[in-house]
Amino acid sequence: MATPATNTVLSGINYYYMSKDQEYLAESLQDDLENLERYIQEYSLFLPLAIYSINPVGIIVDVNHAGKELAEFEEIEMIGKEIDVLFKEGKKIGSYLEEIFKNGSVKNQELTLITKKKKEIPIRISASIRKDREDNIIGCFIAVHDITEIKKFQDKLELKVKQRTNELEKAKNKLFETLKETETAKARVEDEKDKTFAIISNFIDPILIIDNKEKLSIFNPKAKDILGFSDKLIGQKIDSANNYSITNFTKYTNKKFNILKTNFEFNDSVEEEMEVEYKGETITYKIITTKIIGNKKEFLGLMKIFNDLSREKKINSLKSEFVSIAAHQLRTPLSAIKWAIRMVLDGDAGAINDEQKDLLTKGFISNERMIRLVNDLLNVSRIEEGRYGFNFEELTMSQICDPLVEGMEDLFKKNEIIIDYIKANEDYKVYVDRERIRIVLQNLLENAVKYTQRNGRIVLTVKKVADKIKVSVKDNGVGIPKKDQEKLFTKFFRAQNVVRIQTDGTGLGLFIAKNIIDKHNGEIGYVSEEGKGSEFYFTIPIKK
Amino acid sequence: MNKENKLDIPGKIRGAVFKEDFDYIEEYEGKAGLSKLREALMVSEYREILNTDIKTFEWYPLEWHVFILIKSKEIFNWTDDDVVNFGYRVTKLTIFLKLYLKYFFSAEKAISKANEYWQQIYSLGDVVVVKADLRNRIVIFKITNFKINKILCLVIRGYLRSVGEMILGKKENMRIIENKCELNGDPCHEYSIEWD
Repeated sequence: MATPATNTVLSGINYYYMSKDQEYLAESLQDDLENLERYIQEYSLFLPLAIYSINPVGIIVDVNHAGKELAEFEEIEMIGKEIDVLFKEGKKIGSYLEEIFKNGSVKNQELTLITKKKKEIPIRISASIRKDREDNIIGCFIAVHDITEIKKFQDKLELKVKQRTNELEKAKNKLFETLKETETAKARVEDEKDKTFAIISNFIDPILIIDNKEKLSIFNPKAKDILGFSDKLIGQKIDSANNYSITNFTKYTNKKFNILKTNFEFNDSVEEEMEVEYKGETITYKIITTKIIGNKKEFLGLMKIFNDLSREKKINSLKSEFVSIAAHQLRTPLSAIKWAIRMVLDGDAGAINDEQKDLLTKGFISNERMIRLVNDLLNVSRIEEGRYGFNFEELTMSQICDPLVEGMEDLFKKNEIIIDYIKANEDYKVYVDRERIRIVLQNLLENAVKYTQRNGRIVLTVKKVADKIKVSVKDNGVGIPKKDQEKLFTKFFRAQNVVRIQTDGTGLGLFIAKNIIDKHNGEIGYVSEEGKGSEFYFTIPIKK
Repeated sequence: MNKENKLDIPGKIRGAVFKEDFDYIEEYEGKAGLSKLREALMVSEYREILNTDIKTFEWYPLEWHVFILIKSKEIFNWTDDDVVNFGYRVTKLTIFLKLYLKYFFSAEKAISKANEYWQQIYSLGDVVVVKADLRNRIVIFKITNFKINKILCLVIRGYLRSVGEMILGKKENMRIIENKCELNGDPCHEYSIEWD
């Protein structure tokens, strides 16, 4: 007979008798259930994910430990509550529940949880329905993920992105502004460049520009045409010898340059003169090389400007020709007038009274002056046309100076001028044109007499200086004003202070004298101070 | 031993429900309250409760549960409403409710299984559904063969409220009314669940 079971019964109010095996089985089952319950409790405690179990009408029937912690409610407070009270979305949860029960699940729906302490927590839910064996829906599990940190991170990120976007937007706008300004500035620069280039391109004479890296950077069409430069020359490094002389360019062209004159001194500019053949004609250019300095005083390069002297030369040539022709034409009648008056004065045409004599004498003197002017003009014309011939011979300075000084004694006496003639220790020989040198010395002595007052003194000195003979004429006359000094050797120039004293004078004497001395490979110069006198000198190489 | 403390109550109660008694008292009356109850048990006929490892699925004397309730009411000055509240709250925590949940796909189904749920908790008594008119918002249960103690009548009101909410949802003004009581000489206990 089975032992009545008093402590272990499975159902009902009636005790029934179980066999030992049944008792053992019942106990085993109970143990298993206890273990299962413990397991479920431990699992629920451990599970970090908040899980809410709800019935089909949305009532919370169970919640795990994480779920209680998240919502800050006790289990007993949550069970029996409608699930929608946990969410800010409230009754809208109904639509989610419908979806859950219809589709079997819903994944990752973002909502807001309201805790017991009214804290709002952003969450994401997943849900899955529960069914019994007959496939009836008996509720669902709702898993709730706290996405606060994710949201914070997202918000931070969004803020950062927004800030960054704003910064980028600002930077972009600034960049656009800068670009715009740059474009405008660039357009302005291009404009200026175009204008500058247009000016250079349309310049009537060649222009070359060398940059501060010694490279040929620009030349205008005229330079290309006249000088024979090709576009490949742009960027070519130019030899800096003799301040980038035009001679350094000859290797870049098949044109032949004839260099006439060079001046390599660089004050503000350097000057050269050259000739080049162009379309069957010879063009003479004066080339001025000057520095290009920027607004900030920086050195930008050099500019070579070509000035066509051909026209000038032609004009000068025509002028000279005219003067020559006019002078020639005037000389004959002037000579005739001179002799006619001379004859009358000499009484060859009969006696004349004092008044007539006086008038004729004045006429004669004026005519002489005209003849001198015509002769000077002819000489100048010959010099300019290169027809002023020289006949060099070997002479001593005494042979030149002595006869001249003797011949001018009357003039010195007439003007009450004392002449001191200081000779060199040795009578050196020179290679000169006797007549031309005489003209120079005579001119200097006559000027000294003209511009020295009565009882003044003139000192003529001849001495050896190095390998040259220096002849100087020093007076204590009126001197030359400083402002007039640089033009002394130009044509027709006369200082203002002497014009008042001495109206006579062609202004051509010193020009002719300089030309003569130049041809003798000598130098002519002066030292003068207004009111104190002048010293004019010239040098001639000693004949070896 | 004080013989007056011994109750003569038949029947058994499942460990799962009985376990909640101590948890509830600790939660609501604190550790001090629990200590007082333990002291009271110590000097009673039911001191063996303190030495018993209560297991969820095991059966224990119903009088143990009734004694704890009576003593708690006495020690902590519970009102009738406090006892109802006890019944209301502990119901939610039992594993049997979780097991009973499988019937909760519909209210009608759940109501029809009320007696099965009862049998999981108590070894005596039968539950009969007298009326389940959801449209008119009334469900009436009858419990027979359960003449135990007045205190349990209050607890059952709490149970019914709790289960009612679980099945029907939170209803406006849900009322649990004890229409009849075996201890009053009625043939059975009868409870109505009504709501607005």
